[in-house]
Amino acid sequence: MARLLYFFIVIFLFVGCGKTNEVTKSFYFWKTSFALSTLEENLLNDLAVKKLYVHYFDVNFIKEKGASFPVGKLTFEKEPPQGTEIVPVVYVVNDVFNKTHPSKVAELAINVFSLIKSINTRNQILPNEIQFDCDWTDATQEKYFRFLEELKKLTPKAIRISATIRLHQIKYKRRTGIPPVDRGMLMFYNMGQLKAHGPQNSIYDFDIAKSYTSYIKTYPLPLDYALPIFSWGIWSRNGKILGLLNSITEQEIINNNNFKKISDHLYIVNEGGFFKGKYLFQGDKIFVEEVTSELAEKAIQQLIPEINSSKFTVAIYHLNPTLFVNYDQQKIENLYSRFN
Amino acid sequence: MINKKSKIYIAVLISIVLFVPFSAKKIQGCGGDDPEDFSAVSLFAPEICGDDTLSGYFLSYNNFYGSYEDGLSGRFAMQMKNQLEWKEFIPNPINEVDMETLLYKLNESDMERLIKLRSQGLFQDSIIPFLLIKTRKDSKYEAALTYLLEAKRAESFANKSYYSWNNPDEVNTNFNEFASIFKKGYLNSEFEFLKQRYAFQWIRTLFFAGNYKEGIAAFDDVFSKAPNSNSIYNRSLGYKAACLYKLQNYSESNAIYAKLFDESKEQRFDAFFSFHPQEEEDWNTTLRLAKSKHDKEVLWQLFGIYADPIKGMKEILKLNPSSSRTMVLLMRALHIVEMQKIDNSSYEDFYGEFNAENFKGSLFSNKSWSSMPDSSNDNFISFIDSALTNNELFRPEVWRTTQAYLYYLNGQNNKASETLAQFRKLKTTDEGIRIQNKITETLIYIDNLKTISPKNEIVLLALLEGLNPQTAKYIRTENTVRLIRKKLKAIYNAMNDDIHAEIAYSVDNSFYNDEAVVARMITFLERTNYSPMEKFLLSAYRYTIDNFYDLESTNELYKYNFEAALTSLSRGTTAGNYELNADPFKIRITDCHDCDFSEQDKKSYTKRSFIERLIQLKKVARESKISTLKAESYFELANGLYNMTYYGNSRILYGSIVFDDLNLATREYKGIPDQDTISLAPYLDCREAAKYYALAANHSKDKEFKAKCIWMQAKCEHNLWLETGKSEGDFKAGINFELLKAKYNNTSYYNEIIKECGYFCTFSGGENCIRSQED
Repeated sequence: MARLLYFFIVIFLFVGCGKTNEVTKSFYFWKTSFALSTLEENLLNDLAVKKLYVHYFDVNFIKEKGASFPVGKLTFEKEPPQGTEIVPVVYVVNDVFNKTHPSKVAELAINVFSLIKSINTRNQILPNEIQFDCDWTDATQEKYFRFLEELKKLTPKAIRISATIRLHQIKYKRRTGIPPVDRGMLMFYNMGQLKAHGPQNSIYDFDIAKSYTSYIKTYPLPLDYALPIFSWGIWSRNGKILGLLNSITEQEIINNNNFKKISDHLYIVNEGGFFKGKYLFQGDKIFVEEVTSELAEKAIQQLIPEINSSKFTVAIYHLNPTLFVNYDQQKIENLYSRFN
Repeated sequence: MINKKSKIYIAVLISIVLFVPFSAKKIQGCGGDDPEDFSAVSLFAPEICGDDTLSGYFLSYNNFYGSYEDGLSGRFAMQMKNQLEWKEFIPNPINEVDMETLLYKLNESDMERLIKLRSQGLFQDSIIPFLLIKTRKDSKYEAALTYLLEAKRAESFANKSYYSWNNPDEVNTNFNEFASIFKKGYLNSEFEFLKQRYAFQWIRTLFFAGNYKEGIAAFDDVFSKAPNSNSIYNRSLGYKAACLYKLQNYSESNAIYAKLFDESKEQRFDAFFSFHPQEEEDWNTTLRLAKSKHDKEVLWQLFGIYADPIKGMKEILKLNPSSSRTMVLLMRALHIVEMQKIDNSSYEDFYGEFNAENFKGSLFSNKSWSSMPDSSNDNFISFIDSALTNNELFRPEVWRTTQAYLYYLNGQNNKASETLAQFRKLKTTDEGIRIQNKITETLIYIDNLKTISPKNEIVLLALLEGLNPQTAKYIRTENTVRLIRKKLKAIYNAMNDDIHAEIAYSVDNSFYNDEAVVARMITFLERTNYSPMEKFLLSAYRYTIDNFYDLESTNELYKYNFEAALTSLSRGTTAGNYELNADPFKIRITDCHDCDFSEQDKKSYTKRSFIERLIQLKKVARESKISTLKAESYFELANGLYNMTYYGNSRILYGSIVFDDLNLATREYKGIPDQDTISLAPYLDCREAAKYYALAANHSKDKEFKAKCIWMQAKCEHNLWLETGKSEGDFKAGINFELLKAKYNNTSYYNEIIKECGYFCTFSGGENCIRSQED
């Protein structure tokens, strides 16, 4: 009997080992000052997350200056946790490439690289990877790709360059092109159109994702995967979207007496007043979109069969206090472990 | 389905649009990527409210209405005030320019040098002579220079450019040292003026160091004893508010910003930018912090600009029925409604793709005031009604004028007319108010018209005449007339009078797709007896009769009816008189338009003289008995025909009078159209040129000349291949390449072709061929 049990254990381990992926757990950090709360630090420790994609700055075209500049530069108020790999991330607004003359692309790359380097030096960060995030289009492809090539020239060979890839860029790769980088980070979210009153969740929707997933396997870049664990409120008036209320959870809205539920995830403002720094008029509406653990599980189930490598990073977007409203540590651990 | 001729009309008309002088403003707007402000759309001038103290807060798509640095407020005003205070302090004041240099232009090392020189008893210096104006030591002067040196050192962290590629953390600022120096200066300076400035620097340093509590304590310690209204007090107060904000004490922070907004015109804009209530609870606390009715009024005014103008006005009137603080809010509220109701962009004239909604969306993102709930319109009207029952109301005529226009915007024209009637009883002498109401009256009159008859033309013209102010130049007459023209267009269209509709408001070039319509337009424009109404309509019509003659000529030219093309030009006075950029009869082995344009001593042609030359060449070619002359004439004629195609150096001929023809200029970005040889637009069609190159070759016995003719035919063959939807893959050499290779490979022209055109060189089996840019 003991022999038989031993046999099954060996078989189980053998089969199990054969299927195990090498998954690097990671989070995105997307604020302008780096200072992890104790809760956040504990989470990273307990989950053994050793890699953070840290947003260093945006690059935007500044009309008054007639040139592109960094916006929202990160300052490190605290040191990153010991032994954690930091991946600097720079978000370049697509319009930058519409407005940048081809002859100025190299200069832009130098500026961006110098600032990343300066932040790294100041904070003693030695990255293995630098990531660029840009929702490029057919029109900006040429300049964006040249920008990436220039950055590759500037970056020491040991440092990988990665770029975020949106689902539409996967599906229409012939038109939008493949960025000249070492790896891509597939953003498995923000796939739908923002609508004032829903009902579709623009962050993740199974049916929308379905029309893209079959193209993932054949994408010619090695991919890592970013998953959404965030929520926001779509603020509208007279049926028109006014803006997004970031990091709002549905529970917060439910707990506030000034909102009345009118349909699934949709709430109306009872009386005019300030809320999260915005003035909401009576009758304004908030449609809450969030990725609950159940929805995240669904997304993962949909994504996993399309992954064709065994070594990749899974990055959760993003590390912030509202994360803990819908997720406890175990739930987050479960999300990562589904990829093993 | 647009036919070939129609395509010409569209392209040419688009180009004409870009040329006519009155459109210059729009071209600038597009080129500078600077969309029009709301003041270029709105029909209601906020200046009629008569209160310009907060005119920067009238509604604008930009941060502020008018100019930010208008000399009355903002940073420039702060600088001026500071300079004045310094001039009072420093004995034997230096002049304004020198003071400005001392305070704002000299850097840290200049100051060090200055102090060093003075300490050595040296009072002469070639670089900064004026600062040594005092030729002996003066304790006040030396103390001031010492302070300024430290202040300039602090600029390194306190006055950084927000837009910079520098790393904000790059310089290791020793905030403690700075704070200590400034605190010591505050405690020890013997001059009150400098004491306060040291204190300001101290508080500011604590803010930048992130020591917010200490910053607040320092302010309270220094200024609670001696609050005042000088610039340094207000600036220090601003930093206290900023510290409070960082500590999330939004209530107190916003209360201070409101105070600065009210009391310091120099800091008003900054205070407005910094005012950010977060939650209803902290806003209510801010209200409770207000010590007087006046303070509360200010808070509700700021609230009205920042969030809800109607609620702001209601609360202000509860506090003070005769308050003038309602004025800016009344104008904003009306404009928010107008912004939602009126579609009067001037951009649609020229750029159909311009999406004002998207533009506004990007600007107003997250701005609560960018719209009001639909239900607010009714509330707004009833609120004005109730406000007007208040006998103490400030400038009731402004309220009444606003109400009349608001009724109009809501489609309640009868109510609007009644309100105008009530307004007339007020018998105001204010020209701005009077014309503003006349605008509403005119709009109502037009909206009631079903047709334009001679009788109502007279009424309408009289109303329009009344919209021109003598003194109230701020009245938005131009915007109003544009909307009126749009309305007139709709009426004429309903009357099936397309010509009058078009001259009333011309935006859509598809109107000119029909040659019969163009002919009727020419007939109309050739008339000399216009009615007053027609004169008004024509006054802003974008085309002239010469534009149409030019258009007609272009049409004939590309049908190769040269005489007819010339006749069309001759009907006008200026048609076809513009100069071409290159010699249109010159060709190259590989085309280079820029080379042709920049060629010195090139032969100059206008469109007219080009056509005349074509006629002459054709005549000589046909009638001459001398073969060489015939051959040369056909060749030159073919060159002219080649150069007027898209591939030639004078393709602007197709764009009529405009160099940068829209269609041609953007063609490269749209890709090469797939067309067949029948529907090919004439300006893309090189076959007529090829025909004459063949004739030229036939009439010549000169092998070199023939090689040239065949090469040009080869180019035409290639161009046709590019244009007729067969451009997949590489160009396969046609009959002319083969002919050149077979029969003319011993000519020197053949060798020149091989040198210049890598493609042909490769085809001919050459080695080390260059890849020309043009092939």
